Amino acid sequence: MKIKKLYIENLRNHTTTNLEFGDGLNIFYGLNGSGKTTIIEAIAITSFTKSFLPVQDSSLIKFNEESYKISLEAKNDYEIPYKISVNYTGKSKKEINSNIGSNLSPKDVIGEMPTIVLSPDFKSITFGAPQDRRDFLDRLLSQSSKVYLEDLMHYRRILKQRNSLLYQAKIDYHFDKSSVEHWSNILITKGAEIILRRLKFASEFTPFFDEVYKFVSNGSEKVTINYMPYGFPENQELKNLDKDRILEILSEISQKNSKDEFRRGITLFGPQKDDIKITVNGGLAKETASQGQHKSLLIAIKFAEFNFLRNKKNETPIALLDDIFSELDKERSEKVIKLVNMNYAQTFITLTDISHIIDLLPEGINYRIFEVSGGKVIDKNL
Amino acid sequence: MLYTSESIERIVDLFSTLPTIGRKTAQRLTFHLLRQSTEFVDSFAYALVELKKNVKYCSSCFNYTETDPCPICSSTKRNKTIICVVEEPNDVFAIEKTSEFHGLYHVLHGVLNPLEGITQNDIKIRELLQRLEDVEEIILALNPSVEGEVTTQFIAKSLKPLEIKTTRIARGIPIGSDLEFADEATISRAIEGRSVV
Repeated sequence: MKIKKLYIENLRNHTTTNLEFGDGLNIFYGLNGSGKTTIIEAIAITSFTKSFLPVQDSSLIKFNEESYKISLEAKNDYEIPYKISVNYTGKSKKEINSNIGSNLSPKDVIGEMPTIVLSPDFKSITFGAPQDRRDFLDRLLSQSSKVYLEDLMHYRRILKQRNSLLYQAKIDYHFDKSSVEHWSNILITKGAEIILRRLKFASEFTPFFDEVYKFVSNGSEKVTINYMPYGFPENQELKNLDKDRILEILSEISQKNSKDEFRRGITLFGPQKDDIKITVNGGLAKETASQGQHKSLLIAIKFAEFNFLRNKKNETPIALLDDIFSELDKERSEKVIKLVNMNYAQTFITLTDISHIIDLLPEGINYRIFEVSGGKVIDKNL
Repeated sequence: MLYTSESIERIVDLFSTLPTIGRKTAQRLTFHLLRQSTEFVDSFAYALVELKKNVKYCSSCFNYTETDPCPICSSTKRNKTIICVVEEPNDVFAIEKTSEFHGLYHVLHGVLNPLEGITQNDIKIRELLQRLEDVEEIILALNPSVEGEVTTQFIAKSLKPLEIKTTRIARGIPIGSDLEFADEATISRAIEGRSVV
């Protein structure tokens, strides 16, 4: 996928910004708060229908304005045009239109323009909480499979319903077993679908991950991603689990927890509590990896994500690199540039100091430079 | 007070409580009514009063009706051994329009929804279970939402001991739309629910 044009209106500190991009690297530099990341954020919104940063949509609207608008024109690897616009007025839902149709919901759009985001914030994947790893898993799988995305949305709805039933039971001191039972059953069936897909994902993803990590670290350390479905017995072999066995295990965990669930008024089992284990040479990355290894791991995970998505979607993803070069040493920065260059990825880079990157660019690489200040962008190539 | 008349204020407030009507539309409707003849407004008001006075639930299927039992339930041409269970009276209209279904209906007036505090006692499930004499088949035609799914399971389970044939409507690709335009999730559900030809 290559983005040709981007139009931004009243997003953060941008009033109206009209941009045309090159097919290679697009480098945005400027001071902190100048609006560099906003450009990347705008692309992310058209791709995921929300920002990659944890932020409310209403706070994305420019101060004293009523709505923001983003529209984007791209072409896929077969030169077929893709157009999308996202409009948010601060009320109700975002209005999303694309050449697939108008008034679309997020599930119609997610995955149409595969995108990866590499930002220092995502270091939490390797040493943060399980929630950070689940978010990574869900975002990636949602982009690669609409069925997963739909299952996940249904699952979250079921979980919410079941929790509200349990909470009501707790405050009423009255537990109607039969009414909870039906929600448990559907939670287990949908949960099993999600677990099955996550299992398959972990085994498919590891080779991509290992390959990129070896490239980034110049080493022979072996890295893996292991999926840890919540509450499964320790001695359970995960490799050849089939759906029936997963259903069986989930029902057992559900029964074990049912008394506590009533006491605490909340669901205590299911894939919303899963985790993934990232290991380097057999040791848990969270506990044993050095600072440098964490950086290499982050790059490896994100470019494995890139390769995985390209493989699943038959489409070159867009790479968004937000302020990543300030965190990396020269050698790792070079690796990142090499990775995007050899994958022919259209890449968007933000940084504060342009000199950080100019020396690293190999001969003949196709790049464009933009200067950003106070929400205005100057195309330095014109 | 925004308006120069308390009556206008009151009617705008009332209109804006209706679904899909905001304050602006409410205001437009109000001024439109003011421009109409007294006869029109009288008959409009009368129709509203009559609507609420005359229309009630059918004691058998819980659809809206003026006669009890409703015309569908009392018709001699309908097949009384099949009942189609739907969420709302609107769904009865939708199915009736096809004129392909000749059985009876049962309107639940909602689906199980703990977030909105709707339990099995708030919808007409018990009433369904009480009218199963001589019934041979129940068709569950609820919306494919999570809540519709759970309600379908709930009713199916309640019917199990009675050994009545219970079916649900098919889900998948709508006829009249092309396979290539359906999204992956819909297609994969359709493959899941495939049938022998």
